[in-house]
Amino acid sequence: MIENIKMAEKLSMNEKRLSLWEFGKNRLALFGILFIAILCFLALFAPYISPNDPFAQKLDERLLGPCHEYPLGTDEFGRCIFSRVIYGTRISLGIGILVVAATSIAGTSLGLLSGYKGGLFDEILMRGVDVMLAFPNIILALMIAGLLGAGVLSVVLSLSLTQWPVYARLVRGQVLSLKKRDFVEAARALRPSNIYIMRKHILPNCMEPVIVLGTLEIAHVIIFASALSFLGLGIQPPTPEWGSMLKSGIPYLRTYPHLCFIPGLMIMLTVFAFNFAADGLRASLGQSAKQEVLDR
Amino acid sequence: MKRPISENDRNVRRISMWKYIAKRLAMVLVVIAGVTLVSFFAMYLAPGDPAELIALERYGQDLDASQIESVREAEGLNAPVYFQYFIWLDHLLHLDLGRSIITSDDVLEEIILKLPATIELTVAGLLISLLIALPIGILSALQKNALLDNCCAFFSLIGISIPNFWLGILLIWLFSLTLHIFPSYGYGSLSHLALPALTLGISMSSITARLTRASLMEVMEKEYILAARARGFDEYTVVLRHALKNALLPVVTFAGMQLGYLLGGAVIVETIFSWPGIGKLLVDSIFARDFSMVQGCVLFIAVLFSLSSLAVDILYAVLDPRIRYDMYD
Repeated sequence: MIENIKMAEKLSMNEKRLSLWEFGKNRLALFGILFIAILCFLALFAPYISPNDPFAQKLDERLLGPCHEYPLGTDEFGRCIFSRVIYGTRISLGIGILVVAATSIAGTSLGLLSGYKGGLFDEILMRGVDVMLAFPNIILALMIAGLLGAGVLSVVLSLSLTQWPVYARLVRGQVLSLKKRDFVEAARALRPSNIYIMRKHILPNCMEPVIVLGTLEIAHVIIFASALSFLGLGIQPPTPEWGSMLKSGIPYLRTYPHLCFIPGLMIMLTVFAFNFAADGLRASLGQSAKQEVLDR
Repeated sequence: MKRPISENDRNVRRISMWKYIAKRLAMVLVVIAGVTLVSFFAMYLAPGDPAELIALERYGQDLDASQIESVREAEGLNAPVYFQYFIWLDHLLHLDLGRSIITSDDVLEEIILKLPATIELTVAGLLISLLIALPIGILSALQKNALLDNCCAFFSLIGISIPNFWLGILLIWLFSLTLHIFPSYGYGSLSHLALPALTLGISMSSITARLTRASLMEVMEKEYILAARARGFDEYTVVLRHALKNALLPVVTFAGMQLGYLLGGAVIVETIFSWPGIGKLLVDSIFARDFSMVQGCVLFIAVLFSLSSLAVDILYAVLDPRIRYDMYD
């Protein structure tokens, strides 16, 4: 008896052993969500928070260090870095949310139809998805953005056109397994319309992994968008965007590294935050979502 | 009791392997056909008149309409679009990717000229990522030390979140501008390779470390590990000789599949470090609006990626017969 209790204690000790891989993620997830909340606040109230005009150039106040007037110093044109970073939040978050909203809606609907209908439509769509995913990483987006020319619209378009297949494939897989489940079979016995079954029984059960994937995708889209801007194919200066700020800081890397470090850190922390939040969501939404997203 | 494998079983297995390979091959052919379609129509739908661009290149700035028309006629640009696609495809099957609009160099020749640099970079990046990821993954899977495990986890989380262009700049700042150890750009010697390969390798290693850890932890639970322990082998022998061999199979194949990730990452890394590979060629061509070169690069990378994942799948199916029964039924 006593030995049993000891054994149980030992087991629970083992389970409690904090490992950053599993449990610590939740604390980090909290940090992630907090940071995202701050970013949203900054983006919404940018004009009230930023101390200076992000576009105002003062050539006699170039490359200053942090001071009272400019909390993070000034860049090569004497613009306030702090204000530019805050306005940059609008662009990065805006593009991230816009692209993820568009692609998750499009990809989910297509995946739902494809998985539910099956047949030729499914076959063609999935081959299309294979084709889109055969272009590694950012390359197709790079080509499309290059063709369309630089600008916010072209970044959003190129990323939207290249990111939807991930959702379609994920949702289709979900639908295929849900279709066989008893509750769907039972619902079907009443012969409702297909749209009713998809909307009422299948879609709600696909949402968990889509939400996790969407959160991860915001991180990806922010990286891709700033990478495009960094390469000079995305948002152009003087618009304050982190990727293009990073690019224009490179010539000053030796002497004024803060021109690069501040936007670089902002991109990294933002991506961090969304990754952590996705991890936390994944943990709290349960194993199924976790597995599906990892398998994609 | 185990039934001895009969000749019949072997035949079944062999046939199903060939069937799997044939199926996979057919899929890749469909994908590659789709890739050509996407590359062609992306260019076709691009803003700007290709005839005008080519004419500009040939006759200079002061063009008249008849010159543009003659180019259109000569290049077959007034044919219906599907016809143009099939002509383009026919050229493609003869390994003719056309000529650069800007420099009139042969596109495929130019790409093959740049290929060694990209291969050098991706192979070095892959090696570095394995060198970093394997020790980290193994150490944290064995969990002798919770602090160590947490450090590894943190490293992995950072690695996943850090964009490679930002990592590249950090490395330039640290190793090139501050410590003066490695040059920040250029091509030729091993020291030139260091920073770009590190950038690629670090950003890839975090995922591989995660995978190694998960895979090794799973293997360590297996009965044959218990058996090895029961036979009195010390921990090193158990891990290195019994567990690792099985745990690394998914890691190595995954490394093969990451080629696509590497090629995508190489575009940015090559641009930062002025590394004369295909990625830089692609970005330079985009800026020069050299559409035929862009099309060639994108097509080449996508086909290379498809073929390499095909090779990995086949290799995996040959090495581990369980796989092919699970997939594509």
